[in-house]
Amino acid sequence: MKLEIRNLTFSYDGKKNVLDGISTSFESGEFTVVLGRNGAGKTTLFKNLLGLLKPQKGEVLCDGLSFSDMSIREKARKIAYIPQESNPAFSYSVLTSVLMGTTSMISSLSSPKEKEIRKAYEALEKFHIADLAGRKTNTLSGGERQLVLCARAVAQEAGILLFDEPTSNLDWANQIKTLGNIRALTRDGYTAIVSTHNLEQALNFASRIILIKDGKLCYDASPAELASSSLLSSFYDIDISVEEYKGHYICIPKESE
Amino acid sequence: MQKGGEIKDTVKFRVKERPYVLPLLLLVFILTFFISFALGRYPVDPITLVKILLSRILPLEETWSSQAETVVFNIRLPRVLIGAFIGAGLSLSGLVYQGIFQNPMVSPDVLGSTSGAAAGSALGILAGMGYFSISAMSFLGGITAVLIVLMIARRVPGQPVLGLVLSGIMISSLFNSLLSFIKLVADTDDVLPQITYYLIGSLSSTRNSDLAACALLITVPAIVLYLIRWNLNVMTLGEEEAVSLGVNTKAIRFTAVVCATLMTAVSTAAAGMIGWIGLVIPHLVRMSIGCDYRKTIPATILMGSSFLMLVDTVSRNLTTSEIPIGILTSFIGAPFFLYLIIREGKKT
Repeated sequence: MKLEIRNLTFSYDGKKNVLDGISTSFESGEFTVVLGRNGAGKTTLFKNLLGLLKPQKGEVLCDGLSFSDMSIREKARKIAYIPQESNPAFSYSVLTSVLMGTTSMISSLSSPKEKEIRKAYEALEKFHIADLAGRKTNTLSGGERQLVLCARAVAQEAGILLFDEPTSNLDWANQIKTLGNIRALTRDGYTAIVSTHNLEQALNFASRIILIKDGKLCYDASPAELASSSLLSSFYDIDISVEEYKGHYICIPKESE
Repeated sequence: MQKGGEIKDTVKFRVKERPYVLPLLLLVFILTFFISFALGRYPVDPITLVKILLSRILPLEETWSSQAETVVFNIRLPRVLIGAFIGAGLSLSGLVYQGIFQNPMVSPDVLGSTSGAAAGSALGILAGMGYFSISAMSFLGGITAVLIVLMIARRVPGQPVLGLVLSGIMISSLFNSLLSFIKLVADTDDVLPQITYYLIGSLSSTRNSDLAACALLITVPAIVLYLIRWNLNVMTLGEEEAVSLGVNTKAIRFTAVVCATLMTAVSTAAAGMIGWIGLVIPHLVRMSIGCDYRKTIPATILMGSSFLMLVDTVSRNLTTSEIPIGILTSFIGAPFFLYLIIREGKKT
């Protein structure tokens, strides 16, 4: 599934553009990390992609079809959103939470049936958490909750997965596992677009990195190209050297050298 | 990976949560229904009661007094049924508001519908209107308050839930001020006591027309809410996630708010302000059966109606002069709210 952004421009107040003419596209199987400092426009970009905000200019297309011509349900069949953390007002069972992924497949006046339950169960199996099906989500660890959200996105059967800082609330081991899971999903043909503040993880897991600064797309390249460029230091306003050790990138801020 | 039937069995085995709760609530509902009929100033024994009720559909020999039949059909039947409808309506409103606003502490008067209805009916009494006009004014007041809240909330598109809750508080306060003003200018000998007693919350002055209005305006919204039960579940995740999962949040929120408000307004129009039930019952339901709207909607209807029928029976029988039901629900609701605050505090 191909996602294309054309000249996307968005402003909250009609004066300052938070997104300023962003154009790019995301192909099937790509693991793209969106990097940007606080307030760069990452969240606004994601909200535009999800249809929560309407751009003043430009459009988002999926396989050639404009999002503005699609209903909310049609969009949900194309693009799934995995938040940092899901905090529902009430705690549901893991199976019910994953079943929520099938909402766009059932009528608004209906509820999931056997077919959807099977889909949800298969999604749980994919992440080896089927044994958690009956547990309440508020009794799970952060890592398990992240897996449930991934399973929900898989049950949604959307080709494009939008991850909003998926590792920010996890311990180190779960961060690595989550990124590994995202990589595995892209190998299955999903298009993953991931926002993060962790530069090192972006360099080591992504197949492509996009840098956003002041609402503009200022760099789009492979991790290897970015690691060898001097752009990172000016992007973060801090001297950074990127070293390679046994095929892994390590980012070292100059002050600590 | 497991196959077909095996998956089905595993899922059903693991996820079936307390399957006995709904049948138990149904049993409690039936028992309460008959107890409410039987008890009162003119007691009717259960066997006679069943006979009287069945006499309308079966050719039974009349072994009871005509007085008993009058009590059952003309006094108890409308009152018990109206208690059941209002109990179900107010509880269901609370359940829906709490999910839509993602806040378990929210109650039906959050959008100002109760205050609006109270001010409307007080205005009707002050203007010397007849019974039907007062009910209509009450209903209009409730709906007007919610429409104003919805209009203000549209001005806060980025924060739809916060906009609704804050404008609800503001409009409630405005209508409460209007109510106080009406009380201030009302004749202290005649009109003021009438307003006070009307608003205190009681089923003693309800009429058959109230029953018809409650039956229609609580049953229809309840059916609509049950139809959107799955979307109500997804709405509790919040705006961003619900939209990304394919829910038309604006349409669902509008439908849910209108349905819940209709139920609250018609209840207030019929019986005055009966507080706390919309907060207490949804909590008890979630504690007993979980949070899934597929189960909580029928459970809330059963528990809410049983609760109000029971409280009304107590209010009719506890003392020689009837205690208004609003006072009793407050006696139960206020300590329960305290318990919830302490419970939430311990969790965090």
